[in-house]
Amino acid sequence: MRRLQKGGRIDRSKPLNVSFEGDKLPAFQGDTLASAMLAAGVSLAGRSFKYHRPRGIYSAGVEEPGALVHLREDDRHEPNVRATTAEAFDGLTATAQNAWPSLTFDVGAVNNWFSPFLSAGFYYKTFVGPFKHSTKFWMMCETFIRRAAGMGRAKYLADPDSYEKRNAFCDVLVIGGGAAGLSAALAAGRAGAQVILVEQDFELGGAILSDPAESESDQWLTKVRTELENMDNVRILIRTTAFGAYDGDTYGLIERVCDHVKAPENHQVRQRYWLVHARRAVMATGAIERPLVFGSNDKPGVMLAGSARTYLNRFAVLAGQNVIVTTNNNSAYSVAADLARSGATVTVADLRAQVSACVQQIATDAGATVLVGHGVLEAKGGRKVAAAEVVPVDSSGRATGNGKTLKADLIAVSGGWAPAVHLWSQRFQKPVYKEEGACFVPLQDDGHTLRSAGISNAASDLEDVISQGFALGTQSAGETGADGDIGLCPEAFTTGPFWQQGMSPVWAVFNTNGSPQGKAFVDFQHDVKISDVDQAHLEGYISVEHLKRYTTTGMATDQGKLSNVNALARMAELRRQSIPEVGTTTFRPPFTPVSMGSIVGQEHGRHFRPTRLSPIHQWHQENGALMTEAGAWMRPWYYPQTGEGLQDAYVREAAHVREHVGMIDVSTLGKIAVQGPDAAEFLNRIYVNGWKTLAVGRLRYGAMLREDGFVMDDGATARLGENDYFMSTTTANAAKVLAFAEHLLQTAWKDLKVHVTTVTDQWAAIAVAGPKSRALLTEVTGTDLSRETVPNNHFTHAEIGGVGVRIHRMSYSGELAYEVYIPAGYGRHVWETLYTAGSPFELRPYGTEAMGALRIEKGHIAGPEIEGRTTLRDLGLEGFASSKKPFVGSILCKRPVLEEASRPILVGLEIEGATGAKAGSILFPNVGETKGHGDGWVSSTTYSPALGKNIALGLLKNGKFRAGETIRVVNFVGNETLRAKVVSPHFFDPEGERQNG
Amino acid sequence: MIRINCPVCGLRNETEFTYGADATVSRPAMDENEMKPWLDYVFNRTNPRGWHKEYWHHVQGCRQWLVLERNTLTHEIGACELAREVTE
Amino acid sequence: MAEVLSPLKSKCVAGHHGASEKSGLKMGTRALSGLWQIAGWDDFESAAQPVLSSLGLKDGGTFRIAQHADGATAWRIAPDRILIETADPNLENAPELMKLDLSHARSVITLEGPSSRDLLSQLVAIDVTPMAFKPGEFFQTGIHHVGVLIHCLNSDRFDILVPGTWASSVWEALYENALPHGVETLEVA
Repeated sequence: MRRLQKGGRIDRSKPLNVSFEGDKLPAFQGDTLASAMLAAGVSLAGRSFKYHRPRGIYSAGVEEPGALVHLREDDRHEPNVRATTAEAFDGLTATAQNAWPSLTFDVGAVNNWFSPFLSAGFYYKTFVGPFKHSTKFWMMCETFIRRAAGMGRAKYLADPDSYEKRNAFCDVLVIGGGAAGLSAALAAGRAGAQVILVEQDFELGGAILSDPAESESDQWLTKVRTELENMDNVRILIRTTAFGAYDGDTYGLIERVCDHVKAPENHQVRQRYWLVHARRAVMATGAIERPLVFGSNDKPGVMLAGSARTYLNRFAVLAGQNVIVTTNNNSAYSVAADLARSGATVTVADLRAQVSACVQQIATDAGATVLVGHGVLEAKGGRKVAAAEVVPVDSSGRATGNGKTLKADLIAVSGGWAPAVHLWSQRFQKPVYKEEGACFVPLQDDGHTLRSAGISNAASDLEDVISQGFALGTQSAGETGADGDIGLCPEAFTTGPFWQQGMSPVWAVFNTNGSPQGKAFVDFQHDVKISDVDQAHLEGYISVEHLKRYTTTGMATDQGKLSNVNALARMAELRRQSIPEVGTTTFRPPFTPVSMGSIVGQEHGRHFRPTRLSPIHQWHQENGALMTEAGAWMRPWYYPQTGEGLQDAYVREAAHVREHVGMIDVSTLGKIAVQGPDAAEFLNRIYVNGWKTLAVGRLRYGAMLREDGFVMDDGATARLGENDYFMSTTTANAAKVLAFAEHLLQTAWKDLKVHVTTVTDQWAAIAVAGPKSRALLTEVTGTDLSRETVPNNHFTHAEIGGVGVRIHRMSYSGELAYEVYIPAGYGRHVWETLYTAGSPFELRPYGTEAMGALRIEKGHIAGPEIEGRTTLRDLGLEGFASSKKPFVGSILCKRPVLEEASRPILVGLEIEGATGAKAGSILFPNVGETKGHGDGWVSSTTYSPALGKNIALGLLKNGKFRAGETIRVVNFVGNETLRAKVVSPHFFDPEGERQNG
Repeated sequence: MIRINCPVCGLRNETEFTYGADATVSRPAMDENEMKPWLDYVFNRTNPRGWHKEYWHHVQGCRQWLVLERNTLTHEIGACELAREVTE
Repeated sequence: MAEVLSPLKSKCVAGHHGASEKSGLKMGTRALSGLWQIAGWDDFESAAQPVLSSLGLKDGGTFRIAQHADGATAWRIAPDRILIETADPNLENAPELMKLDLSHARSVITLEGPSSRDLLSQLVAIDVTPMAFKPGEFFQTGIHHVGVLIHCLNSDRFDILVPGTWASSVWEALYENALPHGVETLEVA
């Protein structure tokens, strides 16, 4: 047991059940999974990505590259969870990932011996291989390699939890709840700004939490936190990560609402995705400690120095008894002192040739030994550190003589610190290099709305951290107009050597030959060795962007939080350039991984997109209709009788319409009110045919083109009043036509006094079709609907079931037919009234499949024919186009290529045999090869009850002259060839006697 | 996230809008009989680097067409006017 | 005359849903007394005034603030369009002014309770905090990709006008998001 009897910030009165790999770990409220593992002496947390090398706990935060685990079980199982940020909770279960068959005996570890073959560029070299004719062999290898080299595994189970999204607006967003962020929030809050303060940890405090509990810093923290908590204008979000900074001052946050409990209860969400619009943002994100590169520096037992201190002071866990602290800066001396005071045997191996006496004294006073001008050449041991080979080094980190092997179970490393500049860089540009501290920092620019304060801005000491935060909080609030009394800046508390003090830019230790001793890693998560960087350089990959992609350094879930600077430093050294000359890669969101669930929120499954329902929808459902999707709409597909499938049902429904009468819900048609003194002129411009002569009480079919001359849509428009027209569009194109009309009226046609407004929602619509439709409607309405009174393309007003309706006489099915328009709220009432009254007339409802069959029999075009590549002429509609007026597309439809005689045009196809054609099949002549694009394609297909055979519509080259010809219909997907006779698309009643009857 | 200051509705997220077209081209007059002006209007674009004008449609708002200035280089958003009020 | 069927009728069944021991929200519907759009051109405001005056409305309000009178509410939804809720089916005629009956085109989802602003912030990408969205104000915006009009009636009560054919889907989006707050669904009045 490495848990200390006292100290830390854990609540010893609240023990928790936590297990890793089935072993119970003693844990308390306030632990992370990593601290519980360390407390229990678990050193092996996982296996590495490529070589399956043992991995321990390397850090205490989001930068963790090694301790990635599977968290929870079954449908709440989550891969790639960083044990260092997973808050311990009662019932937590975790298992190792990337290890098979077990963590301690890992078959994949043989990759370690094959490592010469898995070096930089392995994937590129292997998979572009010299195998001209087949990559099959390598594809098989890849499958194996990808399985062996991998991260955690997801489960194929639906996530049982729910997630939500929030939109928030504030004056000042403060990112980071450490000393700088707290000071910034305090100032902005006092000034009266609306403030959101976010902290990714489950407690505010940042680095303060790594100081011994109940020290001076805690009093500071308590005081500031209490004041903030009492401000109504400050919202504090803990367990919340600001993962992205975007244009328009938009920030993405993830709040882990219930990740710290076993399962969300009482309908609470698991995570919440905040989209914050902040007028100003303060980035107070601190810094991440950098590793040192030496042999086997990935071995469990090597840990960041600051993290060892965090485990000690925050979690009361002494991570090692025999500790080597190795550093290139002063900050590790606090670590050495705190560990020594807690009973560890500590040796400091300081890479620097000179270290001031007072700094050394911090360690020696606590009982530690200090070796100046020394570094760790190699970590020794099997699955964990047992000793360290410590050597004297020169200023470049090269060994100058023989070393000694020191017993060690913990090597605490500090290669300096890298300010966490990610969000600033995402938003603006690459950070700039600062010699002092040898780190990348944000550029100072008062014009920026996101600015950095504190250590993320390379503040020099604690007083600077606090005053930077306070000043930026004040400035940010002031820029949003909040100018309340900000009072005094909180005073600094005493602290140890600061983060970058005394830093010497040396990050790697080499043997006397100048080579790393064994495997020395730069990127722990992706197993990138310093020798891989060297190899990339040798092969000419000298740009950092190429280096990153070739070696994959910085490309794992930690996104180079640890590896970035060391890889750059090595490349700079090899190129004999400075780090700023080599540059850095671009930071992109997210800062830490974001779950899919939180981005999706509630918009999944049935709510992936909104659904649109007809006012008569419920009736269809109650009466057994099978529904189908038509864009966002749900429509009745067919109404099966007992035992019927789709085929039987639609054939029956379509035949019934031709023999008796049927009705179909056509409320989904797009309906647009076109109003104004220039409405006729507008219609005249937007439709290809003329509208100036349409009288009130009449309606007319019209087709419209896109600006480029292709057909856009068709439908009927009725003239309801002098300046009042009612346009209908196809279901699919309603929104497009409306937006297009609005665009023309608000830009090019501002001179026209016309308003277009959607009335799709205002009107339910029912098509009543079949030889008995007139008799039925006459009886139900008591209105004269005779051929003389209401001829085709006329409408009349009537009443059905006490509701005023409008009855348009027009036909899509080719039968005598009417469309009844009803105020939506009465739609179902009128439908039911008709249904009841229709019983003596054998009235039956029919669905979209039967509607399709009827219109194909008539050769009427629909979506599959108006598909964006067809012209009026292609569809046999050129006769509609007026030659007396210009209309949208009237010039460009005459482009020579669109008037070529050989273009595929609409034809009918009578399919031979009992099998129908598949839409999308390619048409070929009866003999010859079936290669290339053929002579055309099948657009719509059905069985025709009226003709008793399978028919189809298609577009065929020279179709006009090929009537009677037998052609082949080839379905390459289904590998099926049919034969068909080319006929007129007007299969049934070509003279239109039935609809005009 | 593009944020558009709709003259009717105020500052809104791009999610409420749809992009329409290049607003620097003007539609030829209805009685234009030549092919070339129509080809230019429909197909030919300059793809400028820097400030540009675009039509955006506030579909989940006032349904007005807007002319928005946007910098194609920096992604900055500039002035926004109702298309109907833009005089050429 | 038959009864007007609300697309929300099947949703509006009295009951408590979601988080227990919490009642952050009440969701329901109400019938519109009648809904009209008036639209015009160059001198729209003067053309609209007689219609507005006949309903007791001072003017058509602003793009942000609805105009209210006894039995009538006006929302200025575009520079040349005003939406009016009124029971009066015989609006004044005026030259250069087009009237359009939209009484069946919208459904109203009523939202009430201490969590109503939180719920809106989950679905609406605009600032709905009390400082930014005050009683009498309205927004046209999107909920679940559907264009809606949200009218703030008082500190925690809102009417959401939704196109009728989308109403059921928008209701479900609100409902799913409301469950963590605890939601009471109200019977159709």
